[in-house]
Amino acid sequence: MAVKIALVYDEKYLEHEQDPTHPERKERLAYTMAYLVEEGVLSMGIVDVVKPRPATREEVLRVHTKEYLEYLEYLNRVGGVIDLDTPAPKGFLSYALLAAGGAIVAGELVVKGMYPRAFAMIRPPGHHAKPGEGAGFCYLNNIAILTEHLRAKYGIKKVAILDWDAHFGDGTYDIYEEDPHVLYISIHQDPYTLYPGRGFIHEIGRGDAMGTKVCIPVPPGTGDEEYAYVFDELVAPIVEMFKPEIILVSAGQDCHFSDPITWLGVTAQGYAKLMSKTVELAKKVCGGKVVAVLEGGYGVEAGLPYTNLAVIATLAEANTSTIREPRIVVERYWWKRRKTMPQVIKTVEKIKDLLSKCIGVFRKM
Amino acid sequence: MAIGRRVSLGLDVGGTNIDVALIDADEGVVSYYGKFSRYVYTIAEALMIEPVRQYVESAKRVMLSTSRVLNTFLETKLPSTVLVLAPGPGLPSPTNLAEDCIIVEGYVDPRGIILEDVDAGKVARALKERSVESVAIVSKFSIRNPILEQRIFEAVSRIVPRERIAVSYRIPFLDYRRRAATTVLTAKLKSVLYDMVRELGPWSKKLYFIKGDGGALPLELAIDVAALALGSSQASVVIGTQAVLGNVTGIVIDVGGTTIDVVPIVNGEPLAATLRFRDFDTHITVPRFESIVAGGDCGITVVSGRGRVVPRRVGAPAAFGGEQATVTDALNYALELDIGDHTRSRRIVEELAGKHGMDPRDLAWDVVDDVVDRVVGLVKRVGCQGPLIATGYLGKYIVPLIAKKCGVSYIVPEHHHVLNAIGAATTSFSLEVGVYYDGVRGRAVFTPTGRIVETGRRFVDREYVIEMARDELFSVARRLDAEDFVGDIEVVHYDEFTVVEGGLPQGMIVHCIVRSRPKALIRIVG
Repeated sequence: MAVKIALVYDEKYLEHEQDPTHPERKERLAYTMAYLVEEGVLSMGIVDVVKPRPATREEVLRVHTKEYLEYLEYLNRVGGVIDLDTPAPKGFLSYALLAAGGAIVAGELVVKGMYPRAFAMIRPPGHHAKPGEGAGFCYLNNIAILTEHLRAKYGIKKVAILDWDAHFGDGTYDIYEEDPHVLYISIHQDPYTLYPGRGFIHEIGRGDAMGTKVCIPVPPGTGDEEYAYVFDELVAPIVEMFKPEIILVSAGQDCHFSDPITWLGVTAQGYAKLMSKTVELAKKVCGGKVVAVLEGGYGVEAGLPYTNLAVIATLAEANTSTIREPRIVVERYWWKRRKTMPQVIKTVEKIKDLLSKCIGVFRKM
Repeated sequence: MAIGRRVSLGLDVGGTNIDVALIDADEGVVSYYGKFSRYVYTIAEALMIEPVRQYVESAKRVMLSTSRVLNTFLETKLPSTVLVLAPGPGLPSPTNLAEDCIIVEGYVDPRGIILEDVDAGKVARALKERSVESVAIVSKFSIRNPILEQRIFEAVSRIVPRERIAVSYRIPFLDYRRRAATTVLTAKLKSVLYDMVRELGPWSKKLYFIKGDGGALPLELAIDVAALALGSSQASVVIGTQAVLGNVTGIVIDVGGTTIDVVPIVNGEPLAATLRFRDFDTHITVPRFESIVAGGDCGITVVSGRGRVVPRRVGAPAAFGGEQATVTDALNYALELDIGDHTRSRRIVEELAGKHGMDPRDLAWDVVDDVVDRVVGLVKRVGCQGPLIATGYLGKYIVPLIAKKCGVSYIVPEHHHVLNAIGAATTSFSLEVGVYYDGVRGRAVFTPTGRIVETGRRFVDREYVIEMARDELFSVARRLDAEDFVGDIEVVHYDEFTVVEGGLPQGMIVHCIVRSRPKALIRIVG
């Protein structure tokens, strides 16, 4: 039986443009929205579209440094470049604030019990942004700003962030590296083969937080079966042990096999399965509360409409069994899929071994 | 009215009456109005009665609003429909929208590119095995490329008469579930429009139907979106009110033969509502209204010693030769009116009262109070500001009683009893035209015509595409000789973005929908 979820979205998200040919461009959401509308998702009673609001300075400063925010404000006035991947055109900051505010709104709706789950379909993304540094298309770390808002305003103590973007969320990791109350698990493409070149299995947090950061790199070509295996073997037991009050998902859709800048092999059905497992896990540990925040995903035509639909419909517990990619997309891109299960099993075993040495960290909390 | 002046002819075809209004479009004067009982006249016969007959030839158009489509939808067992659906990838299909459903392969993507083709022959074979009353054909993104639906239509039309087939690309809006619900309804209701076309005989060439948004659509286009005529009568009474009273705010109470409709209006405009069908939203906009079956032709009875209205039309009132007592007869008695042959009303009310040992005056007032109380409930539910506006033949008698109970003022506009027909006569041509522009392929797809135009231009600006849509709208209007009464054009949807392939911008995608806004083009001056 489907439930109604909140979809936080605003057409203003289509106005942000780093440059017209940038992978993180407005078409990402334009195609998806057209597809969601045509599919009838917005009229089926499973989704309410909720408008975001901009994040305030105070909310941003819970995560980012004052100096960095002032730098962004300066770039906002004059325009510039943060790094080669991350231009900062004049006026960009209002969109970044609206994205962070979108994540906050999604989280508030769930924590207040107005919706069981929410999806913040926002851009620009955020998980590469560090306290004092933007990078990788990201200016503000949306999911961290959401996390801190929930902790500051709603007294939430323990948050689990599941990041399944193909790229390791180095920004989120750095923000919470020493924070034992935030569990951060990232499944991402092998850092030897993809930006940001971090997210190795030994990155498990520091001090009291050791063991609350879990990096799960998977080889290029990894697909649905391997992701499901990783979830069952690592994600679920760790989250169950951590007992968060809410699960936040850095929902990167760039693990899809058609994505033009990554090399993974997840299908729309694979995404549905991942989200379904997340929802079931949330029901076990935190009353079903899940807030997904869009990160990457650049397969504008061949991937995003189908993966976003799968994620949204699964959050609403709708029947997703008929979601698939058009056959021509499969024919064109399926070559990227590789059977990587043996390597993934090895990685999972290594991580289990590493974590078993700091299991006491879990017991302390 | 002198021959040679511009004549606008409006009809409102209800369950009981055919209302006719002739408007001198140059002067804004109602030069003739009449009510003809449907028990006596067909639509064509009503048009043959003087003085309408002498103007019907010169009238450019016959504008018709009707409650028949809505009444058929509400009261009649509609024909069954086979929904032929090409959903492509996505969530499970809305197979429960129709009595039967055939899912076929075929997928048009968000860019209007056919990624998976359809086997139209397979559809035809599947239909041959079924007993088919009507067919609705729907494919995802058909408004960005109608070819799959057109192929299926061609195959199906070899088996099923075209007047029983509907396609979804005639509706220019995204949301294929809503298009499907709308198309299934059109498939079921097309025959109602065809019946009226047949009844109109030779005048049907000039026929325009009034849609639920109050605008007029020529037969040629209306027939393919028949479901849009749901709410036609309610919308035309709003346009009629606009024509007579201007942009007033209030609650129209339209007392018809079968139903009493309560329609809130704000600044002359109805509040729009979306019609639902089988738990699905449609793309059909109707005025928000509340309705009860308690009109003048409804029967009356005695329940527990009190006079009550029977929520069912029983035929002509005794005052007009009928055999059973009706609300009209009760009103005639209670308010001592002389509607029709009031002696017959008195006699039949007295007979009914006698059977139940009641005072006939008490019985008649019980019925009137019952009707009034029911309408007061509806008025409170719609909760709009402003006076009550009495329309319909019995409106001027009942609405003052309702206003008194509600503690509000009321207006009885001039021509109140034929305001629907005046609305039909004075409204504008209204059409929604969509253009999906794919710059990478340098082509534009238009709805509802399904026309595809190759432009070769990859990059376009907003004004260029809006102009294309406007041109298409006017070109359709021109072809139908309706250019002279196109309403104000407004853009109801616009979005655009650039397609980037291989790191380079390849062209623009634009989706734009414009419409000519329905409104009263003639202001009645008295």
